[in-house]
Amino acid sequence: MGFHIAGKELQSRLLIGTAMYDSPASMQQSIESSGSQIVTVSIRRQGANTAIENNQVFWEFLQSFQKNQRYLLPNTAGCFSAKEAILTAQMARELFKTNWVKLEVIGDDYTLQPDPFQLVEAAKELINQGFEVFPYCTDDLILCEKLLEVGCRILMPWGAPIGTGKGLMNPYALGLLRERFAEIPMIIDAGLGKPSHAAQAMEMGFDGVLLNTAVAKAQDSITMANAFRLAVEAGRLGYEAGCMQEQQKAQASTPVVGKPFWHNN
Amino acid sequence: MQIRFNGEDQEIEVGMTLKAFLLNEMGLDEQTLGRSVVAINQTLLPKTEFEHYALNELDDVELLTAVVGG
Repeated sequence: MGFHIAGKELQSRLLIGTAMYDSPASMQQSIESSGSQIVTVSIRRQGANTAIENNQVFWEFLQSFQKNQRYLLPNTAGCFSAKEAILTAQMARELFKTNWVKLEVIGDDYTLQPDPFQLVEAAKELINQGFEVFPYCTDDLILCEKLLEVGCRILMPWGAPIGTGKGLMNPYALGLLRERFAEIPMIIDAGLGKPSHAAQAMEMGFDGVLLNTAVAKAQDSITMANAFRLAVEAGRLGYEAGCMQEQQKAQASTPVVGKPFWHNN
Repeated sequence: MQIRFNGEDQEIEVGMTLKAFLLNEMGLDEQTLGRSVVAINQTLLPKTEFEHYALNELDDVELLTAVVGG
């Protein structure tokens, strides 16, 4: 069940965010419960959202998290242009000492969906600067093709708009991406709400899922993190086992031969 | 002279370095600087340059740190 991504081999196919938890302790325990080896982080003005001492607590957590084959994935959340995203990525690399970047270039305040044109532009420039780009994209086939053309080695199509919990809105489109780009590591990112959504994505053959709100805003985030861990494992096992083909006509599972006399006309 | 720091105007002495500004004027400490990153006029300034960079009139300084993210 090894997961090869960006030059690393990991055991967990569940990537998880660090935002929106009830407390720093809840965040840390939920991440442990998830078994995730990659967490997303961001950069913001010092003191804008949290007190300096909370920033230091979070920083220390990040330092300890990175031991034992665990990695940070900085994001460019809140960027609306390639220029903003590129600078944010550069600053994140300087701070976190990683060339990994979850590239988000947002095009709409309501859906938070990517601006596909700015996303491709930013991806191209960042790859030229030596970044390993994890592009947050839609399920658009052409957009994904363009991202691969400019050098992306990974794709992260959405399941649904960030934070909506709607699950996989367009399984047809996602299935097409999986089929068309069979060799590309693909992680379903955003919009998952239930463990069954994660299992569904994994059963389709996606390589992993990335989620945050579904765990952080669950009534019991620690237990929910474990539920998602199990769902990702179950879905992946199901995919590797090869699910049965869906059929239109019912087919009895109990043998017909040897039915007792009272079934005879 | 005037600069802008994290969106707010600041009045500082001519020739002040970035590090001196952050430590003496903004009251930050070395620990905070260690987990921060700076862009000046929308260009990354490497940490190694903090104590060498002399601020200029109307420099737009952004100091960012690690925060939670999804």
